[in-house]
Amino acid sequence: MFSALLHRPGSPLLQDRSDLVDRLAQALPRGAVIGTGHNLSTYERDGSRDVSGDPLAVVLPEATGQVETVMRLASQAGVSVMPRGAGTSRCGGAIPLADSLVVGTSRMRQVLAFDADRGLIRVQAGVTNLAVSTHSLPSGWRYAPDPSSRRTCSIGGNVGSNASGACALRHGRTSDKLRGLTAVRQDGSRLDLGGHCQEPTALDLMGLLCGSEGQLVFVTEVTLALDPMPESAVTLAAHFRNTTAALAFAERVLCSGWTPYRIEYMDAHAIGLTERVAPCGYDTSAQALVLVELQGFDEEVRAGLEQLRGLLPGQADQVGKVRSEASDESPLWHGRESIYRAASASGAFEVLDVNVPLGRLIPTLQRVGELAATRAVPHATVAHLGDGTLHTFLTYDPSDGAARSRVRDCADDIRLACVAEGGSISAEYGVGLSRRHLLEAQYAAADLDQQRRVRHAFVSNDRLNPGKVLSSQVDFVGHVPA
Amino acid sequence: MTAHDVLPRTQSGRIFAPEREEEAAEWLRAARSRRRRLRLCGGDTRSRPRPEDPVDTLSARRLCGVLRHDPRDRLIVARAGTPLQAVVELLARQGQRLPFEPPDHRQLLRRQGTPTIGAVAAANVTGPRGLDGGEARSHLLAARLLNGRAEAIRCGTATLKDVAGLDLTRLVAGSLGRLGLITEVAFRVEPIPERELTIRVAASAEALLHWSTRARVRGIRLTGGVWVDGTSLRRAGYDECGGSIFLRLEGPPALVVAHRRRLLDLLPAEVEVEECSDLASAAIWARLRDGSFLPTVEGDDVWEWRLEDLAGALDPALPFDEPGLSWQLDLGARRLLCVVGAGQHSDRLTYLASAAPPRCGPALLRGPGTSARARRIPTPRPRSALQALEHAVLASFDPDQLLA
Repeated sequence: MFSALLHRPGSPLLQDRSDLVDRLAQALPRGAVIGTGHNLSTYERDGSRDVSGDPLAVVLPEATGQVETVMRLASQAGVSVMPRGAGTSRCGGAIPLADSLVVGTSRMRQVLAFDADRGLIRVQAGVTNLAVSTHSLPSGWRYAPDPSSRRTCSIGGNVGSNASGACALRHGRTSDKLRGLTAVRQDGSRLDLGGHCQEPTALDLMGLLCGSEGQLVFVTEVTLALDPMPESAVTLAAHFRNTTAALAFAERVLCSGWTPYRIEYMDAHAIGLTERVAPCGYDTSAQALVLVELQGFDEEVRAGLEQLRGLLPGQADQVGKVRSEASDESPLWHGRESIYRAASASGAFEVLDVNVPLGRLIPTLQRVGELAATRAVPHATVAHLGDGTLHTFLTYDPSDGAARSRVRDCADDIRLACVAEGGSISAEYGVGLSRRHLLEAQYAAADLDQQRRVRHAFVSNDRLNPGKVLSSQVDFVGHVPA
Repeated sequence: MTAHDVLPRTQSGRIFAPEREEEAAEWLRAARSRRRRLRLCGGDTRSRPRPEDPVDTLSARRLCGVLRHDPRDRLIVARAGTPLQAVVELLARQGQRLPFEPPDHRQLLRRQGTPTIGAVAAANVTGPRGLDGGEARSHLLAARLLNGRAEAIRCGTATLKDVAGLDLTRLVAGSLGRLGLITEVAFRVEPIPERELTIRVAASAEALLHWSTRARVRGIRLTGGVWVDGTSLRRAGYDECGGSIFLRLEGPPALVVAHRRRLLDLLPAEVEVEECSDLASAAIWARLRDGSFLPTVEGDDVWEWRLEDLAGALDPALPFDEPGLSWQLDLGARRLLCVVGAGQHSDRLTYLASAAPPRCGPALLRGPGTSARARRIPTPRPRSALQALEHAVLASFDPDQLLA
């Protein structure tokens, strides 16, 4: 749908293109501008795989000051800017439209400050999520939000999608860890928020920027709060004959007063899928698996584990033996963490990140099964039971165009079913390019108009990450739809 | 009778408290059509406008009732005027609570009215438990408000995790009624822990900052950290010469035992430690939460500093030892309170207030010329690019600057 967006013949943008690229090349360090004649294919796609754009040029600045220059020159030339982190978006969030200048953070990978006494770190936006923890680890700290792409995804991108992962129940999301932020606005002006000695704001603008998907500002530096490494971590794995028993156990855990580091659900399809690729001893005869990890002091997690065992249902509802192991020595998480690889091994897949209120999980899981069956789509679901986020993997043969189409329709059916249950079309990946058409199912027109007006306060036109989330296609400059 | 009929054309200072959102929208539309400014409020616990202020008040206090609470969902949806106490009691009956422990400062600030759940969102009202769980805004999942255009807007979704669209709840929380009249809110809730333990240590405010940071480094989960000056504690019946630190642990018994042991290891051997648990502990924290260890005599002034950087050092110029001043430092609420006794005057306090950078100094919460709102809301004429941006965001909700 988006790959056929064209330059409108005679567009002033086309005429200015080489001029802008020349000016950027003069203003920035050698090699920072990748323009005509170079292979830009890396920057034409992201983790969503199925849409691609055609960037005007790619710029890779190294510092905030250079981003200010890029944004100012692009603004003067009337060219749209597409901020790009590591390109791991699963919803087309990093896909450039045809006239966009892609500004990537891959050369912004410096740790700017690290306060080991207080557990604070300031990094450039291109530093990966995992690298923040790696840098902090020798001092006993870690960065808690752990999206599944943590090895490759960038902190700037994490801010854009307010990233979190399975441990959000205990440690929250990116917005809960953000202590300061530097960003550049579309006109090239710098914005400093939060942190010590900064000008305080009446409104929580920093919180607003979390999850704004690069639609408001270009994030260049962030200050993050770290969490101490736990003394001990144990995991309990219990297999169940049915989903109801599994979720009832999870509810008892959540009401027990123990706050798991993570509590995860896998359905029978997910168990089977992962056991084929990363066998770690899951019981494939079970209908559901619940993995619970507790972290803390030694005696605390040992006592907690015993208490969790006491919350398990009778043997009639369980399959096999309950396993509990120290997390760092246990393969129990290998299967769960291999779900993306397992889904890839079965062909192509689309993965959802929907969310429903916890009390609606059982009917929603039933509905997911019904909707997938209706469209004859193979599926597997894992879920974060602490917050009601479902990752349903819809698999298909990539050579089968009809199957691909069925999967897309099925994915939308499920997202809409979650909205009907009071939930969200996206709990983790964002809206990006590929879910824009569903925003109106979740929000009324007036709600979205207000969001657009807020965006307009930051971006006076549609030239920062155009075509995504709130942007209106009629605003596109230099494009005609396919 | 419509709002157009009732809204006075010349009088001011009237309070309108509609029972339905549509009625409230009509009041807003009427005010907008006449370019009349409106002050928005919840249970009216804030200071009243001065008689010369030409504003009417639109109150959410009659927009009452819990709309949704299935304990399994770990969230509650209520109309904005629902009394906070009613929400707290409903949750407690189901073994749940609000994670951010909103205080009731009516006694401290000598205010009337009834705290409402909507006002908790509007003022980002957070108590000691914010130290572990974060401020109220971290737990506000969704809000419905009437903006300055009188449009009903939903911000966020009443579910535990959602990243679809802009998170406008972050703007609503703490906006003090400048974006619109909040009519509904959805907050995350959590189970009430089985055990609670308070450790009291005679020490200074600086020691609280130091030990709470060290506790965090060690992985000790403090759910409250407050220091109160010695004079206030003696007045409350504590046999103390200096100030005291109160530290709280909560959770299953085994968790509390493990964290208590680590915490005691952390404290210097020479300090005297006093402990109490469960009901006795809860009673202490209710007083700390509401600031009721501090004196509340007619004529007192109450000053507040916001602690934007919890682990940072306190300003050494703060006159902690000055006679006639009472103090409470609450790390979870990110607040330092100072009560200046009736008839007292502190030159150092006055100097600190006047010398602070714009919007960084202490705010006078009670006393002549109360200025809490003025400090946190952009000045009418933006003085910096950041203030200009905030003005633009405010204008996106309230283009006519109708909402006071």
